[in-house]
Amino acid sequence: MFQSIATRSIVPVGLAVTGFVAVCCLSLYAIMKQDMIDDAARQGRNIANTVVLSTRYAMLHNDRQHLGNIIVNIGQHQGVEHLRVFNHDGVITFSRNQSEIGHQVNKKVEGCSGCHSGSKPVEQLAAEKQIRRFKNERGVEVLAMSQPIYNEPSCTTSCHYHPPGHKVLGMLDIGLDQGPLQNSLALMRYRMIVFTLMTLVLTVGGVAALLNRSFFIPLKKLVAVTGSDESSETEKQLASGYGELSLLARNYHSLVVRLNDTREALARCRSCNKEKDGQDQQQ
Amino acid sequence: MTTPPEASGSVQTPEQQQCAALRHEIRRLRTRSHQGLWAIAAFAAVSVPALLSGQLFPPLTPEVKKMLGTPPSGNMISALLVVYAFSAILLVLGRITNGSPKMVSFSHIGYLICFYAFYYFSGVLPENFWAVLATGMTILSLESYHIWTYCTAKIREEEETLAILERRMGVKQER
Repeated sequence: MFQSIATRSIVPVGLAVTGFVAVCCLSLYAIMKQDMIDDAARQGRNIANTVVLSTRYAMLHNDRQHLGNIIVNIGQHQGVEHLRVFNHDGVITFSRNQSEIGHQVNKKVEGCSGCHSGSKPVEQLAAEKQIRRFKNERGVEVLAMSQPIYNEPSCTTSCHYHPPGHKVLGMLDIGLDQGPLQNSLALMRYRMIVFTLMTLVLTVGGVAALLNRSFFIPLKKLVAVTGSDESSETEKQLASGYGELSLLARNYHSLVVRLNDTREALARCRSCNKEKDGQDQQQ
Repeated sequence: MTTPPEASGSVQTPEQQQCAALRHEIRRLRTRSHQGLWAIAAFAAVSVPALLSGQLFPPLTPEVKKMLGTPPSGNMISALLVVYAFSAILLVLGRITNGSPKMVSFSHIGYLICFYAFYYFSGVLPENFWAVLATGMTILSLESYHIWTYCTAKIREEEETLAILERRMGVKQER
């Protein structure tokens, strides 16, 4: 089976097309997934910035009740898994989840280690390093980002005093549910698989159909013609319309005709010789 | 072409020597026809640590990251991977068209390991692992298929020649 022309023509084409389309789809999927995650992170940073700006006035006036209400209200927004503010020492001061308030944040976890890995904490962190992805205790995939709350001149001069030496006053930590993003990715994955399969069926099927129509069918006829001794209807069908194969059939036909003529001439010659020999013997 | 010495040590006729050479060549071609499978197996073995990279290899320390410099972006490596896959497939298809006797190139495994390494250093290996695996499997399967069909055709040719020679030797012995 593997030695037939059909297999030898279709297997390399099928393998090459299947492989290349698969590589392109997988790479494209990885790129699109990264782009979608980056978009979600950008959206998350915008929400974090909005929260920081919304709470700025309350922070300057040390209005803790107002600040707490803003955090709780925004935290109840659909898709927000957690929203909390922790101070310079890592103690959670405001959170959507009231039971977290007063707890110390572990500085060794992924979100904190970006700044706290060295002996001295880093004050400015690249945007992509502020992002982390994990599964929370409820098994929800979360995309979280931390937004530093920097000390400003107005903070050092307001009623509740922050020394100018404190560059970072605290952190706003927001976690977004990745469920909708994962659903979009799954849908995209499914569509890409369908698209890939359709491309493969069309390419391999198209090549196979064309090869069958223009090569394998006439080849079978040619094999049938050359395999039998008598000229048949198939030979007439192959006489034209199949390009090189028709030419080959014609050449074969003329070869057979010439061979038959030669055989007949040889037979005539032999019978002539026999007649001649008979006449000679009679004489 | 090397001829293996006969075990008996007796003087051989030119036909016998030719037969022995043909049998040796057939054995060599049979071994060679399986080379592609070895390449695929080697690549699969290399891919296992890449798949488990998150558990097997410790995360890179900031010092190592600093030493290595800024890694290329995942998108850039993916674009390079697509170009590499395209060129490699074209080359193999060209070799199939020309009926080239070139062996399966194990260098592809090296290139693919480099892709794994680059993705790992860029921190996007889990997302791109399957793309590299598909590239490797496609190229190596095509090469393997080419070398297998080439060797099978050659083996058949050699076997036919061997059969003719053996028939001739049989006729001579009968006389």
